Amino acid sequence: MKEADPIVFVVDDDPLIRDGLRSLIKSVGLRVETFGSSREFMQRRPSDAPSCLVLDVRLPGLSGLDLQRELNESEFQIPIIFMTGHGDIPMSVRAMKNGAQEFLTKPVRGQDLLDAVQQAIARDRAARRERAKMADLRMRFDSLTPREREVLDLIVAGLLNKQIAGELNIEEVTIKSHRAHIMRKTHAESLAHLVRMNEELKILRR
Amino acid sequence: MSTANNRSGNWQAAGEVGTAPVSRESILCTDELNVRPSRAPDYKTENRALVALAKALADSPQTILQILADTILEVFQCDSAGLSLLTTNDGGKHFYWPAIAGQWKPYIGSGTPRDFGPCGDVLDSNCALMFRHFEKFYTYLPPVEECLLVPFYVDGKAVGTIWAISEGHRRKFDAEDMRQLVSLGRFASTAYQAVTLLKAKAQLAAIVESSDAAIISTDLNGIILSWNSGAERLFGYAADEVVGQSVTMLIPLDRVDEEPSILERIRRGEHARYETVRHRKDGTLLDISLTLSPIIDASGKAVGASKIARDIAERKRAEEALRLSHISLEHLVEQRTSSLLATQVELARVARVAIIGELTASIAHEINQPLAGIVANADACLAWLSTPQQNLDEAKKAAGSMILAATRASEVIARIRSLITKAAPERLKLNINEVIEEALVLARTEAMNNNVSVVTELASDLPIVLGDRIQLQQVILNLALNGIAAMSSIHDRPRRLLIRSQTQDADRVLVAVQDSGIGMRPDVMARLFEPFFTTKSQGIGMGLPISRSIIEGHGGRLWAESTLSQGSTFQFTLPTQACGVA
Repeated sequence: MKEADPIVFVVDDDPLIRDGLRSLIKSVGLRVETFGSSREFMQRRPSDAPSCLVLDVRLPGLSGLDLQRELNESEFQIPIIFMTGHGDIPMSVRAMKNGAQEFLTKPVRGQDLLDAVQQAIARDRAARRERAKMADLRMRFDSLTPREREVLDLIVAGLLNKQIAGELNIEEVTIKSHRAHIMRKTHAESLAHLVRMNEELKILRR
Repeated sequence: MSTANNRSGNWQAAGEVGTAPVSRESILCTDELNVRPSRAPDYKTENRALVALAKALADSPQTILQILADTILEVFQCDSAGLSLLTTNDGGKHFYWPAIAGQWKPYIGSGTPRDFGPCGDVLDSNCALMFRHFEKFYTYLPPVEECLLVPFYVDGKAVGTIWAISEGHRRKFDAEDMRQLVSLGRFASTAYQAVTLLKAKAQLAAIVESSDAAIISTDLNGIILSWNSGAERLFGYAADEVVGQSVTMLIPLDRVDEEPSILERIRRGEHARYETVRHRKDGTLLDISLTLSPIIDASGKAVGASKIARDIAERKRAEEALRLSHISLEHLVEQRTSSLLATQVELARVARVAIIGELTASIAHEINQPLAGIVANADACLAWLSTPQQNLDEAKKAAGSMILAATRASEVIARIRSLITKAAPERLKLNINEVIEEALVLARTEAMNNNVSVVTELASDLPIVLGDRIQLQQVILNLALNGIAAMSSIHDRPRRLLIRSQTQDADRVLVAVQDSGIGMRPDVMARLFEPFFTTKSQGIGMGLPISRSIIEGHGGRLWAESTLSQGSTFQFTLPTQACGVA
């Protein structure tokens, strides 16, 4: 399946800036959607395309930082490029801590913004892939039965089949069968691969 | 004969007129003079008497009446002789006795009522009369044998009597006595008139001489005839230096025209009074008031002018001093008023600058925002021009947006500049809604930063008000910022700033700024408009007092209403243009 065209979301209450940014981004061939407030943006369904959000810190109602927080708490994962006036250092620190992709001060130089947008889209694209991979991984591991999961834990802990059989008080031949199921269900190519995937999932779960 | 005691008494107190046992006719015996044997006229005696009187008149005119009495007594060889004159101070209701010789001399200076005795009868009949024993009718009078009385004339009018009294049988009056008494009386009248005139003249002269005012008389050609000592003092000329000269010698060159018109009025018999300037002998000028009266001769013709001049320099000085002090007072008031006004204007400006200071961050954003719009659009414009396909429509659109953004930035700067610069208050026709919108431009970001939504409900058909745009913006901005600040601690309800405009009472426009903030306690409400009273840590406490003084300066009113923990409403009214408040 071919990947959808990237899309840039712009949220700024100032129509002049909104239009300027829309025009600028459009000029490099990217899709743009603009919004006058955080609420307006929140009503949009998350896109499947690689995307980024160009967000003004100061907004009427829900501020840029509030929107960032709400997005972080939701499933709508998107890199955010903040724009703000001079002197909002505490605000920018907060934004970066919360995972802002970029922090640009107004007036934003066009090339800086476009660079930031391209980077953000690339990162989102990578993140999406990563998320898709992890989702796949989790799906595989989730298909394990509780007994298979018990066996997996002991396998990745480095125990031999015999030891696992002793530990779980079942036949070694049964352990072997579980092991074969685990390797097939998780598409593991080797024991090392299985261990690595299990580690990645642990990180994800943490 | 009555006692001396009796004679010194006042006749008015003695007896009653109505109890006389006899008639008035019974005591009159004038006709008897015609039947009594009469002597030949004794001109010799008469002449001697007249010479004595003339001599007395020359020597001591003041005593002429007493000399007359003495002369009659001597010539007539009678017991008493004297004069009765009508009093002048009570319209002639009494006689007084200025001169008496002989027995009755002690009565000098006393008198009787007009209708009390023989004297009144003489004046009533206006002819000489002779009485016999008049005490029989006028019972309160001392007894006499005979009394001869003739009227005493002054200016042709009988004003008294001259009389001679015989108290015994040894002296009976005859026709010759009567003739001589009339003759002496006539002479005495003339003498008395002359003396009186002399006295009046002397008195007048004394008055003129002692007067502080300069009293000058001139003839109809303006030649000075008399010059009193007041004139000497005032003008510095002695009488002999000016009498015979023309009064024009006293008149400054630029006023010589006055004299002919003065003389013309005098000839017409008119009086005049005016203020003018004359000069002294030493050439210094003199402010005087001049009172002019024609001098009228016996035939009623104006023959000259009397002029009374008074130095009014002192009064003029006082008037001038008063005028100057008025002017300087007015000047002072003007100065104070304008300096007060300047102070108010400056204070209002300082308060505006303080507001700008509070708004620095907001205002920076307010300017930066359009700049950001310009940059974004410029970049877009360049980008569209740089692409191989060159999308000119998009480039044009972006350039248009740049212009809009730049215009907005310059508007914000202009608004700030106007708030900061010092400007004399103006009274221009204003649409208050425009003023509100302009003020809110500067408050918008502050509201946004504080999560305050600004809502306006502006009536569309408001009448025009007269006012100073900047000052009214200052008031609205100030009220809006106060409202925003009052909501900073509100978390349980929307922070909402509502600005309303509407007409009020047909001739007023009302603007209300309502917040949903913490509200104000009564003690805070009471002090709201006091200078330097503030509840904000950074406030200077001048916003509301200055706002109120601005609104009152526009002929309006500014007041506050508040409900604790629900919010406050500040509102002001302004008279509409039709009200014509300057």
